[in-house]
Amino acid sequence: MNENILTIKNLKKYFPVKKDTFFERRKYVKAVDGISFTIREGETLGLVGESGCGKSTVGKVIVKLLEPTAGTVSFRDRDIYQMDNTETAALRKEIQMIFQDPYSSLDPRQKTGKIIMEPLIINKQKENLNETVLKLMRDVGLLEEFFDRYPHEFSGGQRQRIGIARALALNPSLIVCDEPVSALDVSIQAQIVNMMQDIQAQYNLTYLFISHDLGIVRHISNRIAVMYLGRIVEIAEKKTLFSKPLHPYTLGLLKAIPIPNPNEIQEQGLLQGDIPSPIDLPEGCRFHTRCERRMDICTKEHPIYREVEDNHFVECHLYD
Amino acid sequence: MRQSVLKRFMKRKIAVLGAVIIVLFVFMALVGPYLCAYDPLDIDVLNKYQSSSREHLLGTDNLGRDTLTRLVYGARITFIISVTSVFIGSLIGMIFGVIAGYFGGKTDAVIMRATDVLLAFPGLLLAIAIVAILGTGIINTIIAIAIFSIPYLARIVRGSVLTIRNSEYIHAAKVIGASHLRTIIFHIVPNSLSQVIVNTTLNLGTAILTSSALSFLGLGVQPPDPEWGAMLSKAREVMRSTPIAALAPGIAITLVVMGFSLMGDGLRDALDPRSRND
Amino acid sequence: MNTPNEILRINDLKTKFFLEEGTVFAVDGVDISLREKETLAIVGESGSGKSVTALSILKLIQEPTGRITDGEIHYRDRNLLDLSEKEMRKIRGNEISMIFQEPMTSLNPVFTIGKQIREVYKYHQGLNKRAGNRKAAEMLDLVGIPNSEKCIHNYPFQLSGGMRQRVMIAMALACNPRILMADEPTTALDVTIQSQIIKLLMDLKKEMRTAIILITHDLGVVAQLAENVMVMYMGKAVEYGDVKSIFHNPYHPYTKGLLNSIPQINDDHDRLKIIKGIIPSPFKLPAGCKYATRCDDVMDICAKKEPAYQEKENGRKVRCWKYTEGI
Repeated sequence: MNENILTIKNLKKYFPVKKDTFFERRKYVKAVDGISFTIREGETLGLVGESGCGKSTVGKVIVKLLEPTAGTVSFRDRDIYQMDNTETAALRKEIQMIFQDPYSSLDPRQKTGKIIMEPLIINKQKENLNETVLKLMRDVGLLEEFFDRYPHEFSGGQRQRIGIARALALNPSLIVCDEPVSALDVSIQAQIVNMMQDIQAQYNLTYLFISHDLGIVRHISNRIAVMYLGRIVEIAEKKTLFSKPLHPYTLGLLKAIPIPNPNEIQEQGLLQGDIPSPIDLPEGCRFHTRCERRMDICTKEHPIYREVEDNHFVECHLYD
Repeated sequence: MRQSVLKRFMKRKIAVLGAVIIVLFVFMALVGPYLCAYDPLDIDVLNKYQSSSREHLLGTDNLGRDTLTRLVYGARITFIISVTSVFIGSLIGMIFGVIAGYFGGKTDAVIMRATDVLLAFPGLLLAIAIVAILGTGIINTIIAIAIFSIPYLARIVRGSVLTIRNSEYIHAAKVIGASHLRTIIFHIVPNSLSQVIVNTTLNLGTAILTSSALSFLGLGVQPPDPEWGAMLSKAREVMRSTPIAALAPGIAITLVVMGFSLMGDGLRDALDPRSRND
Repeated sequence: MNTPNEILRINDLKTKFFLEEGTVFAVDGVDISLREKETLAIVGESGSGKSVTALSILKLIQEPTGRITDGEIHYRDRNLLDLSEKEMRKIRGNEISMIFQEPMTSLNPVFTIGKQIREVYKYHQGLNKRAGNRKAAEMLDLVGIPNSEKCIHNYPFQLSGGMRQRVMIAMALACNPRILMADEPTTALDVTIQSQIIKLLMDLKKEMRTAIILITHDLGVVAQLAENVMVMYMGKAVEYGDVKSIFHNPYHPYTKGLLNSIPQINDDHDRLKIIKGIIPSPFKLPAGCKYATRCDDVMDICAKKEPAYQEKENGRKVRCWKYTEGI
């Protein structure tokens, strides 16, 4: 449980922005701007943040869909961007991904069985192909008769199960889940989350669970990292984060979730203003434009990411 | 899914009409020659430029050959030229389009500039130029028309590949370790195929027009082979006295071109993913 | 009109869609009663018919694919279903207005914010450009947009998602409508921005006479904003009541299931409670209760006969055999 399966150090990913004129200085969207964290073997690390905070980019860099601009990503102490072809092929089997949109993550021209089979064929595990696929389908709660059906014949929840079976096929150790339930109806979300917890135990999986939904993240995660504009502003054990959030942004996020109880009148709109554009980042602390506890230093100096308690990291001048 | 495409196609009456016209002409090209009483090359100078009669339903041409027979044999040549050339052109166009759309960047820029150059020529002029270089004849006509349809297909396929490339299932294929080739063959091509089918059908009409025009100008199929454009060209001289000689191939060209257009439009509607409820 | 201050009464509304695969009973006999200044939430998952209900009220169903086949929509003293398209246009955006989920696509990208709000005033109140601009700026102030004078000259792409949703609300409220329909107004927004919009709607409720029909799947938003709740499933209302009764003492098994499947922020369970199965295909609806295929408390009768919409205490209603007496 305590072994680190993935270590990320000072990861940066910048995207160039189209220039309006030739003479302009090239600008960059700093989607991920120097973050470090680890994922421990067997845990679920929740990664939360609002749109544009860079959480999906982190996921894509880990599964090698995007090359990092700087920094290292190490899987079991091997830098995944220094690997040769054989090592990369082996890595594919270890790190898999579950995608957000069950409507576009399945090839509309392939049948269920074919979709789940594809990773096995590519990675030359062709023994008992049909049986393996049928077992995977059972494990994720799909009926055997779905084998010969096309994705468009299914509901969103069932499609997501197909996508999960595909990710499981190679028996990976780490699965990056990029908003796996946010496109689904509430009652279906609960089914998928429960199923994901079942297979986590069955297949000894480690999850990086990326989501904007704190409710679900809290339910499924052991630890939670909060991102804001390309930085991790706080990371802690789930209980600590919810009972004792340190960063004003974390606090604002927690307070913003509408409570499904009409007797609890919630104070709404605590975090004022909009998220600044990731192209023109604020000077100093990125959050100072919306922070209620802003100090002079916040507008000038970038705070240091530090461990203020055991396993509780925060990036805020309040804890200098 | 295939069935529902057919069902949707059958619902469009105009498209079905187009398909019926094409099927009739294809049938004529396949079976017609066995039913004809005359040989398309048999010259009978004494009976030249006849109007329609019991012996010659559509009259005869400048050398007394039976127009109906020539029309039937001409259908074969017309279909062989248009189908082969468009097939070759579409295939090459699709390959370029897929490569440009999938890899993007400099590859894309080079291929797209090349198609721009080809598209800058007025269509027929390009075909004439190619025939001028290669010489006349059926094979060269086919090559000319094939080259002529490459840039259209390349552009259209590139466009659809650009959308497909950003779908999550392409990302998913990469994550499970699929190579570029595998991704292209198993995911990109099948999903852009409906675009290819529609535009190939629409291109067939254009191809027939171009091949007829080339022959009309004496640059395509050479006499004595019966070709609709060439027949039209010869009949032009006697338009006043024997209009049937020009009308017959003229109407045949019009009908086939129209047939392909209607069918292509119908296919587009039937295959259009936006009208699909999934 | 029997209830005091009632401004909207819908009786037995039915809207159908005629598709190649068959007929969809999108809204299948819905009754609604809305009082002045009331906020009614219509809750349901995709396919429940909640959005179609709202579009039906404004008669915005695309014919000939869809059609309102039955029912009455009484707005004040008129049945909207009897009105001509021209008369409806005077009601839309003026007396009954609507905001949509997607603030990106609901605004016209080629016109300035000011022009788009001004158009509403021009059409319904005949105001000229200057007066229209002044009113537009006032509305933008009201919905909490800073620098409203400047904002009226901006184009939609220059605003963030949250700001655009504020503009949409300003536009919808421009003519001080009697009813505002909000279809998933916060779903496309980030949590902190969603919270700002909820606050805005709460504040506006206090200031304006407008009644709100809030269409959403998010029970958190419902709990914070609504006074009454109607739960829909497969085109039918299955439960209705005041928000506290619905949340603390739900009757219908579907309502219970929905409430249970939200991960609770304040307690830790290992597993989420779920509603089993998936919604039935709209082309193959179950014969009896539409929820029978997923219900935990299903009885023999449920699969055979559709239960009636029963009145309960305090104006509550429920459509379930469990609460039907005398069977």
